[in-house]
Amino acid sequence: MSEPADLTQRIERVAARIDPRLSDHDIERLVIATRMRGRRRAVKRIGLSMGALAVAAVALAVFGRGAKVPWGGARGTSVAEQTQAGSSTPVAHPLRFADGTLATPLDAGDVLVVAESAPGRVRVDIRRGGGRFQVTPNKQRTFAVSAGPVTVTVLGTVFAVRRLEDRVGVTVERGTVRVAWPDGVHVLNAGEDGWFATATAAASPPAPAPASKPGDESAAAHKAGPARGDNTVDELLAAADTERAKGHPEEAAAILRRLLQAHAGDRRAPLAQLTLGRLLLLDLGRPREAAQVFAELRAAAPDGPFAADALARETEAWSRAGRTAEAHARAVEYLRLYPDGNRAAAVRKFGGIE
Amino acid sequence: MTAGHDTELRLVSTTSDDRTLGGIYRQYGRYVAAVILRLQGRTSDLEDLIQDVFLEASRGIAHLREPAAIKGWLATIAVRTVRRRLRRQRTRRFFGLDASAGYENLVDPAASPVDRVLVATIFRLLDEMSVEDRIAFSLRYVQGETVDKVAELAGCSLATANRRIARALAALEKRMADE
Repeated sequence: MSEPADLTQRIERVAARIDPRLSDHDIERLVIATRMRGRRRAVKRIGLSMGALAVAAVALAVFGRGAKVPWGGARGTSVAEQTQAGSSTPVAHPLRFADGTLATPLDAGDVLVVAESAPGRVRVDIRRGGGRFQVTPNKQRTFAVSAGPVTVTVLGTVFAVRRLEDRVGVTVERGTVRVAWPDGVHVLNAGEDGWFATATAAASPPAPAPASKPGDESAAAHKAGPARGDNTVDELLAAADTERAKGHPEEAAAILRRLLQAHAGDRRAPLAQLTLGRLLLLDLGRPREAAQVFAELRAAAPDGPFAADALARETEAWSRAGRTAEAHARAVEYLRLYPDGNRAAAVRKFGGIE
Repeated sequence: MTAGHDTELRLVSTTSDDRTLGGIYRQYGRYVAAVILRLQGRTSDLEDLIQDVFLEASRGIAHLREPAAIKGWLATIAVRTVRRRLRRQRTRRFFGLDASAGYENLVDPAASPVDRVLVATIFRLLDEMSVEDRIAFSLRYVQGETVDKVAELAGCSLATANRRIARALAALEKRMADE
């Protein structure tokens, strides 16, 4: 390993070779493209202003009668239905609220629904996929996003929520959110994120501890939900969270290993194993160990809720370890098992399948 | 680049928006492109981000009080624009919606394979950092700015800039040592 000064000098030397290589022709093309984009945006702004006026007029009329009215569309109406009535193809369009709050689907086909819209409370349901939310601070009303059993309550912030079959992911760009699920509550601050397991069946109740992404710089106070069943597992998960938040990934990994040894059969063990793998891969830079953890997780529950994620991460881990043959093999397997998987693009990349 | 030329640009801007846009593009387009590319690292997003920067610039150029400051002002817009994009990328990456970029072709074609690998490794590791640390580090060591300038462009105090740079460098050293 090189000395720091040597490293920064090497970076500066190679960075000097980063050149956009724009020709005069490219510049002229960009000038034209930018002008056209400016005109399109101007037209769009006019359209939005007209739309906002119309929404405001309707809201005024209905609020005047004391009724609740959605700010972004009819209650229970999906974005797709709202923007393309009669079309069977879902189209991702943002929901704009009168106070400037913006809810944008993450992907085409993601469906956001205004489920509640009252002066003191707005709630958006994620029916499918996910959304990014830029919420204008307003002490007079709460803004909540529901994704199945997980509810994210906003205190004025920018964040995103994605709903998968077995879990809900939340990542916060600015501000603070409170994530509540049947077994607990968790506060996420700017720069933090976490996956929250949701029940897929009555036999598998929601896990009470979030699987936050390793590598977060800011340390939020983790508030574990009320313990149910095995308190020791809860304590270990909370301790691992605390160590990770303190910037001690090694200690967090050791705690998770202890948990897996002592409570291998616990319903939260797969989540702990996934978190351990991510710690090893992303925080500790030990991709080979991470690949083994992901492989063990998948072997233990090949049809489990984390199998696809573990296989994708295993592919990434082998790739980062420089083991291209393994990475390729895992990528092929992933694409065979989950051809439409959420991580297909990343898997192709890491597996060298372009 | 002279201050006098910048002043001329501003005067032009009061009479013709199109000519202003073309003017600042021709003078600063490559500089802005380089700033964006060194901060963000993805050639696939480059033109989109350049357009965003100049679109914002075209709306604010008439209000710029110091024509000589246009270059720094454009860099500030570029940093702000890239920061927004990096935050969205981080969100999408967290949800598994954003494939890691290939950074091997970021440097010019004449670069050695060793340099290509180094650049790709650095940008891949930068992808894992917080957006603010990444921007501070990239401005300092990839773009080659002074720490004072880093603080100015990132919109933070000198102490915060120093702290972010140090934290990013420590993380980078650790990861590179591990690999």
